[in-house]
Amino acid sequence: MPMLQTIVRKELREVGRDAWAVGVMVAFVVILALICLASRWTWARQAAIQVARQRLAREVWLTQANDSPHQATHDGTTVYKLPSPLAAVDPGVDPELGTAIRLESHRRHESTNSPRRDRVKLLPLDLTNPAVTVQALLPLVVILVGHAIVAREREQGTWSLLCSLGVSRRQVVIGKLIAMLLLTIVLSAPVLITLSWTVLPAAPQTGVTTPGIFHRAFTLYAVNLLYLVGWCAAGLTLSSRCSSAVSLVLLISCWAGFTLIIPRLAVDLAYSRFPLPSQLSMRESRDAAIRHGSDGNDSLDEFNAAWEQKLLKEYGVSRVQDMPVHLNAVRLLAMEEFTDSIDDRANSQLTDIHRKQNRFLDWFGAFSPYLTVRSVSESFAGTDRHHHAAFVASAEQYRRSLVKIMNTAEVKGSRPGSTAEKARRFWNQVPEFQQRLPSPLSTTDTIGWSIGVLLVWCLSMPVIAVLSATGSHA
Amino acid sequence: MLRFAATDLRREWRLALTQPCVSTTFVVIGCLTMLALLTGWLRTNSRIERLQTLAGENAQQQRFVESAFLERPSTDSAAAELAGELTPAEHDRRLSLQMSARSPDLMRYTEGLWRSMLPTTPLTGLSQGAGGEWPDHYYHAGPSTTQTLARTMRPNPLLTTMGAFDLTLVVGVVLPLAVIVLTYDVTAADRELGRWEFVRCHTSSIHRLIVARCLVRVGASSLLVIMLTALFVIVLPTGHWDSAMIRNFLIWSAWVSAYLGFWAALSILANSLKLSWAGAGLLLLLCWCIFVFAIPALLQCAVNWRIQMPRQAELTALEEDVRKQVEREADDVWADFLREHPQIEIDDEKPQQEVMLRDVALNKAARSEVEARVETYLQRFLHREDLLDRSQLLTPLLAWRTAADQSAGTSLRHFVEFARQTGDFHDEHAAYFESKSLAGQELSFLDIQGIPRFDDRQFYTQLDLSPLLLSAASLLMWTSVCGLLSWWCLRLGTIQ
Repeated sequence: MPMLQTIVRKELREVGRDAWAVGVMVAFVVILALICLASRWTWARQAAIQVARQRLAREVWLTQANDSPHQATHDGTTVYKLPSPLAAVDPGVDPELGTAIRLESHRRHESTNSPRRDRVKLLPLDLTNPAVTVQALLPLVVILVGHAIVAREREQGTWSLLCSLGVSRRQVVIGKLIAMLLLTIVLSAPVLITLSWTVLPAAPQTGVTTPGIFHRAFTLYAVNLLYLVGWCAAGLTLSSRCSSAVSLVLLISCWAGFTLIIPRLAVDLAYSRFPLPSQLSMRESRDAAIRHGSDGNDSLDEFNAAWEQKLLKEYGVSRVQDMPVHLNAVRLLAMEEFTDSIDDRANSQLTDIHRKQNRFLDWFGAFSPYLTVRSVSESFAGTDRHHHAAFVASAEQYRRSLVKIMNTAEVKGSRPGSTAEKARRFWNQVPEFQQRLPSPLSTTDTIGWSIGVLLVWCLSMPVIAVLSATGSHA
Repeated sequence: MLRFAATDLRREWRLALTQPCVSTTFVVIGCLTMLALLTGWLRTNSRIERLQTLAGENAQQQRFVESAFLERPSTDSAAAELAGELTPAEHDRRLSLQMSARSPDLMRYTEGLWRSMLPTTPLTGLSQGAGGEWPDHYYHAGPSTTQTLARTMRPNPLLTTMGAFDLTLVVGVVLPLAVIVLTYDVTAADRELGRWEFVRCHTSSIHRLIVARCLVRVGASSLLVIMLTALFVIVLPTGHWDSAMIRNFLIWSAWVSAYLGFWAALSILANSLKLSWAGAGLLLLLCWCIFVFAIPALLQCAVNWRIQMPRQAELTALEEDVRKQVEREADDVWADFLREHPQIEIDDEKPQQEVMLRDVALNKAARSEVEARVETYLQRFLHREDLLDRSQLLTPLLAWRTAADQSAGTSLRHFVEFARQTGDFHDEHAAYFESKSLAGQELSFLDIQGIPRFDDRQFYTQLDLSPLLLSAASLLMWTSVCGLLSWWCLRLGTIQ
């Protein structure tokens, strides 16, 4: 153990003496700290804006001048997506997706108002995202600092000297790996600080309920470290087998392949192979399904006729005029169910395409640890498409409950009342929208494969590094 | 001089081929180029299929409208449609169009009469450009211009975040890395292996040796990419080849060479300094990071900070505003309209006529105002492009990207121009029916056949010169700076 400590100290001292390496590392930490600050500021601003918008929308709902509850469902309201607390570190694909959903009866709207839509994108990697900077650029720094960590010893002739001191090669390699890992922790410190700053109870809350926020934050950082362990070990492996020049070239090629080429290729092919239908074509299909039915399901007219017959039978009358309820009001509830079932079918088709795209990307993840770490990191940060779908689903659930409460009031003939206070109490029957991130466990089925690939990457690379050093004839 | 250069190049080429690293890199470059071409081809093919479906829908709408004037179906396909091959939705649509076909007032309000399409060219697959965020077709949404110009495509978030895998990425980001791998040790390796004195004895000028070594490797890479691309786009064309396309391909090839020429100049500079192979490699990598990540990142932040892009909802809101405003000034608009059209005589016994004509007047007034505001909306995108064009001088990567998008016809300017043309066509289409409304006549079969059609031919030849010239200036400037610096370093004798 003391020997291991000595090796680690020696390695760190050696890196400290290399002006180039120190310069690169200091530059990286400064850049990462600035990116973290900017990202944290953007997140806080976005959260404040969304909270304010949500409050305003609620106030507009409570103070509306409508007299009819059903008309109120047509005028509707809007729910706003509050960013996940960990979006400060990994905004994921959230900025590309919508942040607001219009809610009204008979129609399920899609999310709109993406913060990053139409913003200029000049970079091959999104370096405004701290997690991407750590996952994409930090390995490059690790490569630059560590590509020659063993090869240099061999080329300078100090490797044999080291071995002659009674230190086993395995110990040397493990010591170097620990030193690299310590450097990596120092280099990624701004992310750790930002994470702590975000999840601390004193931090401003966005209003989103986040079960297991500490576990999420811890796992997010651990995942990034595991990924970087793989890179440190890969650098050691190649450094102990090849000359420093060849090692650098190979590591840079691997980095370019894993980070720039394979992820883009995978995403491009996934979307070409499983294209999403446009909003317009989905709207046309919906209209056609309402008018003419689809996939063996009834059209609205057929549904209405069948429903009327059922109702007549239920009340034991032969004419609709003889029914003890207001038919048009009850019809509203039934029609809502009908349109909901059409929307559910369309949504399940979309979900199916997303699932196919994700499965395709998962397979490519086996060739690129970067793709898997992105997937896992976004998932724990609560900023992937799965979490967005959960928000959309909760908004839809809220819409349905809102419409049901209002339509039931319409059936009962309830009205908001004459005074502002009564009206406010009436509209307050609809509870406030609560956003809640799904529990981390619910995401494991979507990222199980990615976690597996990542574990294989971070466990196998150190083993290979130790084995290759033990077997090398330096 | 030329004979010496040719001899040097031939010798260095033979020497380069003996190194396994060089041939492996060429294979990797070839594979990546083919992969990028293949993904571009897949993307373009799915777009072609989509556009063919839309063209079929356009023809079907025209047939449906014409069928209102036909006693019997005139063609086999029309007969087949009428015989019951239509879906219930299509059948409804045909009936609805047949009912409106004779009335210009109803036709003005009928939506879905046409779809405008941005055609593909043989070079479309080379660069994704703004294709992921802007639509390649628009759907006629009745009298509303802004609804027609709404972007209803569903975003692919990962694709938008990561970007597509296209040749612009391969040439712009990955090939410079390959160039670094090929050239970082052209002199240092010889020096460190103790062969340098021997090499120096066999060459008249060190500068010429470095230039020959770098040029041979970079030239071969660029030739490989251009040849493979040329072969691919000729064998698997995704559009019609014509003189404009050949010109665009030549521009694309020239810019590939010029961009890689800059990296060659940078390599010559790194090799002209008295650096070890590791030093030269790290210096080149640092330059790569600066040109590919640092400068674009700063530029991106600055542009996004400075210019706030209009949101999609703004486009819809602007038409609502204009319509409300025109409604408020309805009487003035109507008076102006009557002054403009003195031939119109209002028959007091036909109040319906006045209602129709007032509607035409209001729509016309609203449309011209909407047209102006849509133009302002689109101009905001072009202003940002102008700013980015000027920023090309900051990094050659941006210069390359601009030229690649321009020659492939996928730049934001192309998509904005397409949106603008669609807006103009929307107005032309509406004006056609308004003129018939003013004449107070029913539509005839000839009128229906004379409905304007969207002309997409202009998009084949569109090429904006100013961004291209700035791009050329940027590449030339950077290459010259690196060339001059390396010449100066050699004059100073940093390398012996």
